[in-house]
Amino acid sequence: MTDTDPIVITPSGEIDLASAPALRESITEALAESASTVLVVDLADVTFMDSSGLTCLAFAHQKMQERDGRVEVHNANSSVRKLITVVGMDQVVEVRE
Amino acid sequence: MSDPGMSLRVLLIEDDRGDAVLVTEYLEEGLPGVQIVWARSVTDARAELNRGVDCVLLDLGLPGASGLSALAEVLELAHATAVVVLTGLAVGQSGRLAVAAGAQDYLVKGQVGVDDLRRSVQYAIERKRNENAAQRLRESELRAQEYRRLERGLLPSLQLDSCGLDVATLYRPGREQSLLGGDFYDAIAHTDGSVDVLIGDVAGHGPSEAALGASLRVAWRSMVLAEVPEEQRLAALDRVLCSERDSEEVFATVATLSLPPSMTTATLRLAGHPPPIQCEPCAAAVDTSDIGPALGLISGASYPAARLPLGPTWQLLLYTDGLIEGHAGPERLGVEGLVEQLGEVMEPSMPMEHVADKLLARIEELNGGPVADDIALLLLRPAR
Repeated sequence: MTDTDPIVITPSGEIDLASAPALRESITEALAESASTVLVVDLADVTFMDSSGLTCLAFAHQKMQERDGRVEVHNANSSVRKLITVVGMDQVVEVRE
Repeated sequence: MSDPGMSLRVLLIEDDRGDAVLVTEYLEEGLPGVQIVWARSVTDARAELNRGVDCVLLDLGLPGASGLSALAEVLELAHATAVVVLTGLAVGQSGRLAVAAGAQDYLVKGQVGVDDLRRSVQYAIERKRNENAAQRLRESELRAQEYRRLERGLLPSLQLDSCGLDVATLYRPGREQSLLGGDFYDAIAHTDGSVDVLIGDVAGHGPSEAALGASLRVAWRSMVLAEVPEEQRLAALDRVLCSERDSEEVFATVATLSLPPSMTTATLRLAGHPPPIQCEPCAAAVDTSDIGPALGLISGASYPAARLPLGPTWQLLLYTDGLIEGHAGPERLGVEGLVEQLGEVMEPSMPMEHVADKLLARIEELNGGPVADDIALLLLRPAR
């Protein structure tokens, strides 16, 4: 892996109060391993996400800003996508199919 | 019955080999199974004290240090450990002084039998456990007081008696009560009959989120009382959040509602917050695309207004997302589930507090117990 490949993390299941700390941890670890300026959070296997998940995305966004990079959210299901949109997180991270 | 000494670790600090052998024999006889570690000085005992033992037996006659200073050293290294001191016959008051200084008990060398030693060690351990438990209780009471103070900052008691509105509020801390949330609400009635309402949620949990929620509430209240125009408040609140937050990633969602004296329309502004639910004529989430981003996400964002027409029997539910994130069978409740539950519990003749309680009881029942996140809600309707 080179530093130009995007960093990809693929959480699964439910992202809530209980599981969000682990997601934050894996974001921190992934960022420590690569200097890439693109972080892809692939939510294809995430069935549910609440505001705790949004705090992880905000955290990721903040960390990527520090290296002039960006966060992309891929494959969010419709309810996750709705949450991201209501909060306005789609104006901060790039939401893609 | 298992041996009374089983799994007990006793650290003996004694410079005299003969005394050490005697005490060890007595302990092994009185407390079969006890594990004894012998050190000749407090310095030698340091590693063992750091590792943790159940009880320290400390000779007050150690050379090179006055007995009480050795005790102070032991207590500093192992403040949660029981200590019994051993004194010589000629030392008079030193045993009592040691107890006053924090030891649990003292024994006079040469006057101690197997039973005395066993009882003293067991009592000392028990007494220290109680002391530690009492200390933890005091600390948790202090923390609870701190939380109550923060909660008052987040959730004021509202003075709305003569405002023409019937208002019920409700707050439930999340299942993990040690994690104080950042949910907050407020409402202010003006002399002309208009009313301003606020609900919000700082993302995340902990004392700094709670303190930030309280700051946002007070900032909003100050703006309302200072008659800052309604359309300027959320942008100002965004700036307050950005200047007060610990870290750039912190954001908060907020909904505000302004009701004119006529109560025929309301002005709703949303900053990343779930839209309220209108209960009349039938329960439904307010359908609006006029939603600004959460506070703290985008600098210079605008927060558009949605106008809600209000019929003569209007009722509104404002809430934080803990209310929709609970389980309902295999799925989460969601907005649709909340609308359905509210439709079922809402009865026009029922006092608003009862509606709020009943709604929450239904949601907790579906979830199989209290939900994980904090819940705040406000129910509003014209007074009858």
